[in-house]
Amino acid sequence: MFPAGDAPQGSARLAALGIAALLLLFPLGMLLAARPGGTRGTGSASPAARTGHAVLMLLLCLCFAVRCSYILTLYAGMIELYLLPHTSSLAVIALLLLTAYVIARSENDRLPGVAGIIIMCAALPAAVLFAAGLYRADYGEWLILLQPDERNIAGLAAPCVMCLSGFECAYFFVCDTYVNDRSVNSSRADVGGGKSGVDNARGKTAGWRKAVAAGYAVTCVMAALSYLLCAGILTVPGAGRVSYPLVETARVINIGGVAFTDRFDLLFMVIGIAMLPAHTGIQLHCAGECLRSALGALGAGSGSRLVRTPSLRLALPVGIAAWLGQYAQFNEALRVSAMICCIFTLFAALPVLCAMSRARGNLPEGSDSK
Amino acid sequence: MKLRLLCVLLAAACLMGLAGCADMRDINERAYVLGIGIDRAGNGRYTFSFCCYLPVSAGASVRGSKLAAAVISVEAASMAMAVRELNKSTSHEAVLEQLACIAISGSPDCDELERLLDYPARHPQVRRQCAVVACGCSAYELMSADPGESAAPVEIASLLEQQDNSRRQSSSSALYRLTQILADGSDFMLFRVEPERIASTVSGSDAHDTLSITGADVYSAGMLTGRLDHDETELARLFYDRQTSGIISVARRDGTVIYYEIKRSCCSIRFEPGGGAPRFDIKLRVECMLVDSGGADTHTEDEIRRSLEQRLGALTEKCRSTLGSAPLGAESSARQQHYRWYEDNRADWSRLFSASEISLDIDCMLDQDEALKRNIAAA
Repeated sequence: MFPAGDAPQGSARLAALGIAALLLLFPLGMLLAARPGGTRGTGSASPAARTGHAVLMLLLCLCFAVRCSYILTLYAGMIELYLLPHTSSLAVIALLLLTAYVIARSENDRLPGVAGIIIMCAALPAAVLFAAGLYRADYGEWLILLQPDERNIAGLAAPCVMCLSGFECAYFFVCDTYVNDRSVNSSRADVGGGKSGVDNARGKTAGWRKAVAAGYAVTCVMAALSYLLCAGILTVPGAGRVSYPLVETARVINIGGVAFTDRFDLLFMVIGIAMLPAHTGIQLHCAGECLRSALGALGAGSGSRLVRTPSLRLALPVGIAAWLGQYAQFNEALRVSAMICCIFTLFAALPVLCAMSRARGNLPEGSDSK
Repeated sequence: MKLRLLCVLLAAACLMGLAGCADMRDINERAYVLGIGIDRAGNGRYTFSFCCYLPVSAGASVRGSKLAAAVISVEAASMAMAVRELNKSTSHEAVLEQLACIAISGSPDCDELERLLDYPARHPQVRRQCAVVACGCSAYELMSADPGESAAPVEIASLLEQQDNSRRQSSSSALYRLTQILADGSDFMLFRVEPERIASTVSGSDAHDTLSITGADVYSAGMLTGRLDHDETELARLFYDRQTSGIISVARRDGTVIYYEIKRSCCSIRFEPGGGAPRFDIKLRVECMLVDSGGADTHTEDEIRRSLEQRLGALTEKCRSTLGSAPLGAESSARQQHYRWYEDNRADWSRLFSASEISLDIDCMLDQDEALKRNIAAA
């Protein structure tokens, strides 16, 4: 999963630093929420603690959604720039979202499997790429990373923050287990799963959580390696100057004058694009879980039941992200946002219609959850 | 089921949109630009010579190919305007994906270079490894050269790519690196390539051009500071880590010149800002092999080392006094090893480099076995 290797520019740098600042709030919030009588065990928590937890979860949801939107925009731009210059980015984004949605809506059962298969398929080309890149990299450039200068710390830090920002997912799934378990269990109990159903759900969720955490660990390691590779090939200031450093890196690797790596950019792009739906799917699911947890802590009642519908859980954060994540190009953002909202509203409407149909007795119970 | 059906339909609709069938252009309607030569035309305008592959008429072929190389000249104020003019004048769409070389005649300053290279550097389809060279002759002449096998821009690109096996400096001849250097305001050098007419028969009926690197233009502080000749350029490559296949010559006392091929070289530059003058400690390890003795006895390793010390010493002195740091790659070493110091002093870099102390430590190894094997194989 490579997208985090691509460094943002200009105003995007400020946004990345803003996201990093927000991320710093989470450990503090989690520590507060983990105190005895805090959010763990929301039934006995004080209203203030519940509200605090809800705010934290909403914040986290927003971060996931913004990042998801950022990655989508970044890759749609990349595809339009290098591969399909005459095709609208709207079509590209729609296709990417559609794939991500199909993967994400399967949730516990298929997401780790799909992500695993994609990672396995990408392992060999990625190894070849990194070997070639490391052979040609100027390791002296890495010394610069060890000598941060306070005057351009933002320029150096922004790409690193983007590389490391995948950690919030691992943090969420590893540290907030109790809240998540409780949320899943209560939702399964609500639909009449009984004790065995709750146990199965717990086991499944724990396995899925580990898979996602492992996936993000891989993401973060690959992102850090990618950044080092870009800095080694394009130089540190050069890596911050181009829009798609990883692709640009692939385009300039040259070994012994042989055209072996001349079209490596395609390989980089294909790997990135192949990873993208799983990556986006994970982000969307995380955002949905956060939102559900927040609404659960607020005791939203029927609201939380409505939000349990997977499609709507995804539609809300992406709708927010569409407005917030497209900070780089505002006009384009308006068009893309409108399209994303339309697509997800469409997907959100279907399960609601299914639920209404089930209420009339036409569909079996639970058919909207898959 | 309904949802799946909807997903499939949406995916199909998106895929049809992605196929780009709405603006399809046939390959016969495209002009593949291989090289661009740039000559000054006066009044702030330039003559851009596009070396293109154009489709020949149906059934015909040139050297077995259905494409023919042609040089089309367009006068314009910028490259973007020139490409537009090319599209209009040929009724073909100019495709820059195969652009292999940009040759610039005269001695442009850094601002002019930045302006001229901005368009290809921003163009997403242009190869980032596209070679940028200077030429002593007119760029049109260079683009029109007929080196035999393939078009001149392709030959120039492969000539430079064969030279380039280093981690750093020599890649400044590539478009991506040069534009970065220009943006940073660092020192750099551009290889000079020139054609030479060779006739293998008396009548000259099968004459063709050979392209060769005749030297390099050296830039420092945004200006052209001087030139390296062919031998100096070859020697300067030793400062590029990991260089191979360069040829160095060592003269005997009787005047006989013996040529050695560099099998491998390893260069490390240690930079110390110091209290007063900065200091560069350059350690060079060269493995070479005899390629042409001219019938004379070969040198010992110590003789080659002393010869290299003398000539590289003269080159470093020339760099320090007039040319600037580009041939030595000293600026990137300083930037990497003492980043903060470099950022504080980069405005004054030229003066600091002129005042610096440079020490050379050369270790030379002569591979006799390899030379012997070659002689046996030749015999």
